[in-house]
Amino acid sequence: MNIGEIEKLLEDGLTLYGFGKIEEAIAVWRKVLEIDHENQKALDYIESAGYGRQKQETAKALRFQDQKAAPTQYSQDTEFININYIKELLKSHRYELAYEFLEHLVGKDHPSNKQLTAYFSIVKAQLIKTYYEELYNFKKVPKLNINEQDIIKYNLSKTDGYIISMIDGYSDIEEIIQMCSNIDRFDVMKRFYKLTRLGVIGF
Amino acid sequence: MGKTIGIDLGTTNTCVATMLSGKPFVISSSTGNRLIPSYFAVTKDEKTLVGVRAKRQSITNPKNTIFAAKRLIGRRYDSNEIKIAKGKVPYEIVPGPHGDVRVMCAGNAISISEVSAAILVEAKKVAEKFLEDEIEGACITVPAYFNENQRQATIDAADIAGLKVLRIINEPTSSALAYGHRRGQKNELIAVYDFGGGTFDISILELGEGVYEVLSTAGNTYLGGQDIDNLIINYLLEDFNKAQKIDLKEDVMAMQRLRDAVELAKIELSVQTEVTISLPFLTETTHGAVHYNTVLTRGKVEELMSGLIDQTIDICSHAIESARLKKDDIDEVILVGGQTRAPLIMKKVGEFFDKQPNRSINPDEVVAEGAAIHAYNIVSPLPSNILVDITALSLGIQTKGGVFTEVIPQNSAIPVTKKRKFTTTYDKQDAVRIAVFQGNEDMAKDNELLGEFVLSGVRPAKKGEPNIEVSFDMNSEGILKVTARDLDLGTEQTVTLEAKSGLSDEEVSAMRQKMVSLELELKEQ
Repeated sequence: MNIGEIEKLLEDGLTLYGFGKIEEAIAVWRKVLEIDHENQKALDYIESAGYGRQKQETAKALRFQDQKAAPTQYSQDTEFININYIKELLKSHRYELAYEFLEHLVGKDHPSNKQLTAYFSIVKAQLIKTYYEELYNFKKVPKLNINEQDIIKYNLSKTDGYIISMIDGYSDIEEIIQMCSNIDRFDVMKRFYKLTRLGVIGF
Repeated sequence: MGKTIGIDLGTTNTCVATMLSGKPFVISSSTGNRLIPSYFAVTKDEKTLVGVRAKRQSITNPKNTIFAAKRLIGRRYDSNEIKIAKGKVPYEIVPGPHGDVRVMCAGNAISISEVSAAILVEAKKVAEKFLEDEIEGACITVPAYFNENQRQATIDAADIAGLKVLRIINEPTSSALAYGHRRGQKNELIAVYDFGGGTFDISILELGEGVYEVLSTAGNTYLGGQDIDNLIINYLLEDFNKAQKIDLKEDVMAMQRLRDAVELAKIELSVQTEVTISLPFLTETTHGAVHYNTVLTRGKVEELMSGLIDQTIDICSHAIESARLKKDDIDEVILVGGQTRAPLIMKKVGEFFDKQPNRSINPDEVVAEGAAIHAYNIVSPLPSNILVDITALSLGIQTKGGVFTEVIPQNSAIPVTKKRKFTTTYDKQDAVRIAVFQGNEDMAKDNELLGEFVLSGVRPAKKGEPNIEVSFDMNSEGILKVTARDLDLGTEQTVTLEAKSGLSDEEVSAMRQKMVSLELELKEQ
């Protein structure tokens, strides 16, 4: 099997994952590991998906608790587990996963937790640095890497679609970020990074 | 010696041209665009965008994107035009300190001349980069119906942009110059049918022996290509709603994409009979992304736009009547504005004038080309063309009951001198107030106030007895001198009316300083 086919399997898994078919996605990525035992992307995706599954289960549990009118408490134990989990993610440079986890914690459940907020800022700064470096300091002009008719095969959102529509063949990433001033700057960077990783856009 | 340029500062697009080897040449930007959208925006990060990038975020950043500034330039805040404009643009229009107009952009009140200056800076930057030289001066075009205040505000915009204005010329005259430059000296009557992005104008000109005389002009300042875009967008919104049961009107990202797609489709439909509009991930529901794929036919677009084109044809009839001509007298019809590439426009205009419109000149570029020719002629030692202009709007004074009484009628060739007699409105009246207005409305308050003065020392008598002569004298530069004289006593009062843009010299100078930093910012982009 060639690299292109491995990449396709990885993308297929992402598509399934995007549709919430987590078990099927993990099965596809495991196929990749059968071919390439140390494929880092597949390993990362499986781990992330595992977290996604965990999130789904937690959500189910919370819904069950809500029904029983038993409010959830953010206990010191939970905080200890969460912080350790974040530290683990940072140690292994899995910043995107850490961001999603923290976004969920800070954004929805514990907006006033200072320690989590501090970690959130650190992770965000680290991601900006990564995006900046990986996206050629935002100075390159992006182009669509796939046929226009194939774009609907990807699991994208309308915001992704809007950002893609801003690619005009002469504006660089920084200029497109400026044109997308209705969307949070960090969000545009994050989506550009995702779209390049998916191979939808290139340079 | 630096180079000269011609700038067509349009309502929706701006075009810049120069002369190369004796021929007009339109300058493209580094991105290959020959037109600069006349858009100015400030983003959330306080970054200034001008041109195509400002336009491409205009729907998602509507409060801080200024477009169609040309409709506001040089107007008084309390004028009718501004009242109409306020209902048609998403950004906020506020009064300036001198009764002029300002727009709110990212929390700051900006003068309209500043907005136009930013677009002129972009045009200057494009020209300087191409010519690798400083710009010595520019001819800038304005609609024939622009009054003196609007012309002065355009000159202020150029001053703020650091551009020396060689001459302000009327758009139809400029188109005729470009046409005449190609055709050589020939006596002809031509019609310039200008369907721009936001406005429609028709002008009848007489060309001969280097003289370009405008005979009449008429138009509609709220009829243009964007109205056709809006009709197509509404049709597509209904089509999408019918298929998906989703109303996209409030979805700014979808609306921006739809507008961009319609503009491209309209261009393609000038040469093709149908076009596919494909907008993946246009919107989303709880079930996921929703795509939009449809085929737009030329026939459908023509059905939608037909009524608007008929309106322009009615205006053409009016312009020909004003010039005291018949349709058959017109030798050539020149099309101006990208929208005139639409086969339906060519067909309807051709049918009306009973002759095929001239298609030898690029309709997007003809105005800028003419301005470039005129700018070059002004600085070159060769004899210049003579441009005979007209008063596109009537000039007159306010009389009893606030009525506007015409002294110089619309479409009078300038220079011109006209006199009219007036009298007093009450017994023993010893002074009369002369308020000079420009416009075509019946009531003075609906026209543009150019200035006012008082003639004192009038013979006190019964009302209606004194003979007061008011004389209007407009020279070829458009400067108006108004004299009021009591014919019985010989007392007289004269005033030369200077156009007011709404900005003081100090303000223009301060805005120039501010614009220098924007110029640097744009150069870095």
